[in-house]
Amino acid sequence: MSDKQLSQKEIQALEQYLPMWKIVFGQFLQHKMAVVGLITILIFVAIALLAPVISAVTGLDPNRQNPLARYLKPGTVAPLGSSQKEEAVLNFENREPQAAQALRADLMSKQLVQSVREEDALYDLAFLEKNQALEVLKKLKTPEAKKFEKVFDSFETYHLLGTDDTGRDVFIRLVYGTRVSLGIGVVVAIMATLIGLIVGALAGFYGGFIDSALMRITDSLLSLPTIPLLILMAAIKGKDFLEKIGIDEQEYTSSAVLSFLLENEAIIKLVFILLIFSWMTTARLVRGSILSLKEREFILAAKTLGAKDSTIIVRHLFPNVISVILVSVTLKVGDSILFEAAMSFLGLGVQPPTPSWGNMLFNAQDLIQEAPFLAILPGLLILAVTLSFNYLGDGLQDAIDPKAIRR
Amino acid sequence: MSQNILEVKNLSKFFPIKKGLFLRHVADVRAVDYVSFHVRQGETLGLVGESGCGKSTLGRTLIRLYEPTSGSIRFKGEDFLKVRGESLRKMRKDMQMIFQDPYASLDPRMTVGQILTQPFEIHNIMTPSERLERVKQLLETVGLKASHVNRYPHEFSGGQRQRISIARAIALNPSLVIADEPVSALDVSIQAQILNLMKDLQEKLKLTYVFISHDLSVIEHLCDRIAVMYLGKIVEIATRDELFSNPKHPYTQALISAIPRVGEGKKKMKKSLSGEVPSPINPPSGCHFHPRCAHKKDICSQKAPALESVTGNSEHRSACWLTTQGGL
Ligand SMILES: Nc1ncnc2c1ncn2[C@@H]1O[C@H](COP(=O)(O)OP(=O)(O)OP(=O)(O)O)[C@@H](O)[C@H]1O
Ligand SMILES: [Mg+2]
Repeated sequence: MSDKQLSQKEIQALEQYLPMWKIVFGQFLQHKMAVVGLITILIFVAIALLAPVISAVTGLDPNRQNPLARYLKPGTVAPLGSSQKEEAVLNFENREPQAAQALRADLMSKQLVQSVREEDALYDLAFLEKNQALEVLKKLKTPEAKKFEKVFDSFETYHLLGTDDTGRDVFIRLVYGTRVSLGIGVVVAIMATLIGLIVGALAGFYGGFIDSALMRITDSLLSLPTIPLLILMAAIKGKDFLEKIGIDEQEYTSSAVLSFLLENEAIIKLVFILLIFSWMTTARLVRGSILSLKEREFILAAKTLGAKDSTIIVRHLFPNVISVILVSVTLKVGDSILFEAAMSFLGLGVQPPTPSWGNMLFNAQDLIQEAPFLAILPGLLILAVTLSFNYLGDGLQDAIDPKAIRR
Repeated sequence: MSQNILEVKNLSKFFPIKKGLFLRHVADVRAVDYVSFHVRQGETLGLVGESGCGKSTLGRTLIRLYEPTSGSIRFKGEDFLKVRGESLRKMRKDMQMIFQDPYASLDPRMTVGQILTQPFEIHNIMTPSERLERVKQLLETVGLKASHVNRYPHEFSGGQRQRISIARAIALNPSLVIADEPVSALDVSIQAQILNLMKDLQEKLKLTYVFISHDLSVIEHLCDRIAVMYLGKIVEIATRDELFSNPKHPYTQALISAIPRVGEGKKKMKKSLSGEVPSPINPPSGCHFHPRCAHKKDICSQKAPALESVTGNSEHRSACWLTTQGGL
């Protein structure tokens, strides 16, 4: 045989053990779009996790409205409204009381502002035209003046992606929207997959009555009309519901859990509804694959070798089902994000002021002609993320298919 | 005459068909329908029949992958069906199976080494390094290389995979191996190699085979005795030479005449089978074969013939009213 001529080295190379995950990973890297998808997803996950940091660094607040700066185009600079200016000055005074004191005294003594009372000095300065005010501060040349110059910088906001109908910064709302949309997507996908896994595994593994009962429930849920049910659910108010079952206002405001639930009522309801409608496909998938695995000859072979049920489940069923699950969970994240967007677009999902990509789209409807980017931006993000998850799912599917594996 | 390693009496396996939410029992698939036979130590018993006649079900019931509906199995003199739990697990070491589909019989996520170590892990035999040595030795025994130990099943051809299956089956030194169509999924050229390997192993390891196949020409090469199955029943059983030279049952005759021989076109088949195999859910009354039989009489559709010795040969049994009433 020609193999007899293999050098010692080549045989050693053959003998080298490659764990399954390394093979799968190598396969995955070959799937370019899946890799791009994974990177995109990781970037969005990072954005979602770092949202408060981004907010602190840029000084942007997703809920700060500015009536003077509605529907701004991307890349414009907008002045703050007067109340916000006052707030900024107040912040400065609280932060650096001594500097503020010194600055006030200087301003009054040199009569650089027309204030009647000393307390108003900084506020009057703040309401001057920016260049004028900066000149005033330059004249002072004190370190305190330098510090106050920074406050002026924050009087203007740079809106990278423009502003929406109430003058909120679109960029930071998209950042926080990533949190909500991606969060809902991931939570729903994971929980739906867990439910589906349990139901499907019970049905598939035990068969018989358990199987047919569980599958009837699955089928009937699959045939429920989604949208009407959602509207119905959206109409049920958490407070009313609690009062119906005999929990009064005092009780639910004092209970941490209940008040948390009520505060996030819309999101929780949405997650709940999405869950109800998305575990069935996984359950069917898991049941199907367990049913077919159970009859696969390698499982029978393990049985004839005398393997215990636990060995068969851990060594054979689990690794083979997990691969099915992994793909379905990634696809489900994309689906759930789309579903959330659709619900929120209909006004049934995440309620303002909490931003989600879906309700940002919903808000953009009114002035779609004047400010199309308000709709385009969240739309693009939804597209990018769902596409990425789909490519990731595709790539995983190919990577974990052992028949496709080549060395 | 050597001892019987396996004695099967009135064994049957019905698959219940259940309908509706409450799984009402509506009918049975009579996959194995009261069969009796024995297997002698060291021989190869062939089990032949058309697709769907219950060969696999019989094989799997013998090894208790399926619990039989009725009947008894004695393995090495012990009542195999009484064995449960831990002692069943122990006893399984002595009885192994080779499966038909070389692609489905190996877990795609395990290396050959992991697959072949599993038997020892399950029974907690030897240390890990001893196991590895034994696995390499097994690979060489079945004609593969020790360096294959870290490969995955998909890196092998169908024939090589079947060799791995065989290695797994002989790992625990069983005395009985049930081979369920081990070569039907393979190319003809490879079939001969695998059959030769099985023959060699039988000699070396003193194995007893129950060899299942739908192909009489494959069976002819390997088997000492042959049982012919039709619709869940054994219709004829005899030594190989007797069966081929003196087939009694019309179904056996039809099967034998259907084997293509060198120099003989397929057209020359003397007796060919007409019609379809009836459903095992609702088998024909009397002799299951009567609707397709060229020699049927009135009694054939009324009463089922028993598997009885053919006159002058206690080794040759046939279940046909024609043979029990004095032959064709
Ligand atoms: N698990 C099962 N549940 C219900 N019916 C079954 C089951 N397994 C087999 N059967 C039925 O039992 C009958 C015998 O099947 P079996 O697989 O034993 O036939 P076979 O002779 O091995 O056929 P083949 O040559 O196709 O492998 C068939 O009618 C089949 O449909
Ligand atoms: Mg079969």
